[in-house]
Formats: sequence, structure tokens, C-alpha cells
Amino acid sequence: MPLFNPGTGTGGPRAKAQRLELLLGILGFFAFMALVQTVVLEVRGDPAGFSAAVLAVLVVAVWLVWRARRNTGV
Amino acid sequence: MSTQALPATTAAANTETHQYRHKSQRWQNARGYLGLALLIIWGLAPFYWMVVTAFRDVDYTFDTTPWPTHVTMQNFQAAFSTSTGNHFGRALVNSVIIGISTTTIAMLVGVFAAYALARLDFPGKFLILGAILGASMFPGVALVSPLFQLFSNIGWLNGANYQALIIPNISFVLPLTVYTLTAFFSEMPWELEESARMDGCTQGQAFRKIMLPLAAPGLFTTAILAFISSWNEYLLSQQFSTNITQPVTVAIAQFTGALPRQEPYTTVMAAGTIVTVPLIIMVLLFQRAIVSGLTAGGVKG
Repeated sequence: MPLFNPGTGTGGPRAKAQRLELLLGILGFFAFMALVQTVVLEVRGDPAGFSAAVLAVLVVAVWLVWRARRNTGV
Repeated sequence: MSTQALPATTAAANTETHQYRHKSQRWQNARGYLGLALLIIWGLAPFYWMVVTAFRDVDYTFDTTPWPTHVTMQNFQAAFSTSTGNHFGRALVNSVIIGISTTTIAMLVGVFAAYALARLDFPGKFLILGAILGASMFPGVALVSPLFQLFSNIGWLNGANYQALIIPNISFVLPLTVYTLTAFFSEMPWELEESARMDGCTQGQAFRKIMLPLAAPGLFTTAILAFISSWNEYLLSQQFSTNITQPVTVAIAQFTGALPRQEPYTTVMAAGTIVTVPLIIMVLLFQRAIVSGLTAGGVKG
């Protein structure tokens, strides 16, 4: 199984779970960065609306991917 | 009669087909070579122009003759001269210090991370791989202002603080190192490690004594790629370096001419040539190791 393209050519639930985990890692990283930025802006008292909106979108995306990962049953 | 004519006709047809195939093959080869020649010209033309301008007299900077004319070595002397406030020699040493430090730290951390990711099966492995991929996607320019503020608060932006250049560099080089080495380690024969374990080695000893020496081409390739990446870094160095710590990329961009408002193009080209040549020599010397290291892990046996 290729490490960076898990489950290529297979439709198994394990392969799907691994692909979703990879996506979760990428989205999670960007969500964490957005969280740090939002917290810093809030603490400083700077406008943080846009940053918070980006964070909200990323959190929803992480939740959706996490749910899909859980539903694979692996 | 028709039975005698048939083999002759078939032979003629075979010869024709053979000739056609031969011609077609030659045409295909010619097209291949033509494509390669175009690619080489496309890739090397800027370097060729840089070298030609580096050797050209400053009065003929904008001469468009495609071959070397008015050849002089003065530009190389000017590049190292400190009379106009340039410190190219010191910048070269700085680049070597930053490049070697970044490569060493990234390799030390990257080897263990890559080995664990390739060898161990633990929950969330792909999550970590995704996070590393995310880190490598992160735009460097977004880090400049927060890091600038942080480093100025802790006093890293004055004097000879090389860590202000090395630490951010590692964050960009490390994902590259981990990815290249993970691909390399994942294709290695694990039976060797199992044999070492059966002979009484601990997992650490098996890694150190068996797997690491076998991974040498991959480690070497990754180290060269990491060094080149660090050597060419400009964005963060331009913000975080001081007059003492600035690397060559920044020093060349800040070259000043002998006269006010004079852009010293030929000196810049000479400095560019000096900076590029060590990399070319290094890659040419270790070409075989680099190619074997890059292709290892590309095909599953």
C-alpha cells in the first residue's frame, strides 16, 4: 500500500479511513493555525471577525471529515 | 506459379515494413533528442547568460552579444570587495553555517520521525502525515510578521543571532526531510531488521547498525535537498538577518555599486555565479547517489 496515497485502487473501508485521516490532518493543522490567530486577535482586542469565520468553516470541515472517518467503522 | 510468387511478395512486404519501422524509430529518436535539447536550452539559458554577464566588462553590461565579449575578472574582485559596503565573503560563510545547521537538525529529527511513520503502525499515523503535509503547504509569508514580532521581543534580531534564521528554516525543511525519508524507509526490506532482532539486537540497535547504513543513499539525497532548500531561502532571511548574519541571497540583493543609484549588474551576476557553482559541483559529484536515492521508493518491487 503506497504510504502517501493510501488505498490506491481499493475501495476498502480501511483505505477510505486512511485517506480521511490524511485529510483530517491537513484540515486540523489549518484549523489549529486559525485558532491561534483568532485567540491572539481577540486577546489584543483587534478585529477578529474574518479570522473567526475562517475558523468556524474549518471546524465544520474537520467535524464532517471526522464523522465520515467514524462511519467507516475501522 | 502463384505459389512461387507468394514468398517473394511476402519478403518484399516484410522488408518494406522493416524499413518503415526503422525510419519511424529514427524519427522518434530525433524528436526525443530535439525535445531534450529544447529543455536543456530552456533550463540552462539563464545560467549561461548569468555566467556571460559575470565575465563581461561593466561598461558593456547591456551588450546583447550571446557569447562572451570584453572578458574580465574584475566583477569577481568587486563581488568580494568591501570598499562599497558589501560583505559577500562573510555572507557566504553565514550561508554555509545556516545551511549546515539547518540540514543537521532537520536530518536528526527527520530520520526518527520518518522511521516511526514508515515502520510503526499506530493510531493516527495518517493524521500526523496529513499535519506534516499541511505544515509544508503553509505559506511562508504568513509567518513573517508574527515571527518578526516574536524575535524582536526576545532580542534575536540584533547581533550574531543565527538561531533567528536557522529555526524558521527548519520548519520549512523538516516536512521535506520527513516526506522524502518516509518514502525511502517504507520501501526498505524489513526482513533485515527482523533478522537483526532475532540475532539479539534491540529495535534501536537494529535501526542504528542495520537500517541506517542501508539507508545512506536516501539520507544523503535528503541532506542535499535540505541544504539546497536552506541555501536558496530568501524571504525569511531578508527579514530576520542582521548585517552580521545575512546569508548570500540577502547580501546579493543588497549589493551597492561604486556610484549612487548605480545597479551593479555584472557584480551581482558574478556573485550569483559564485553561489551557484558549489551547488552544481556538489550535484554533479554525487549525481549517482542522488538519482538512486530519489528513485528508491518510487517503485514497489
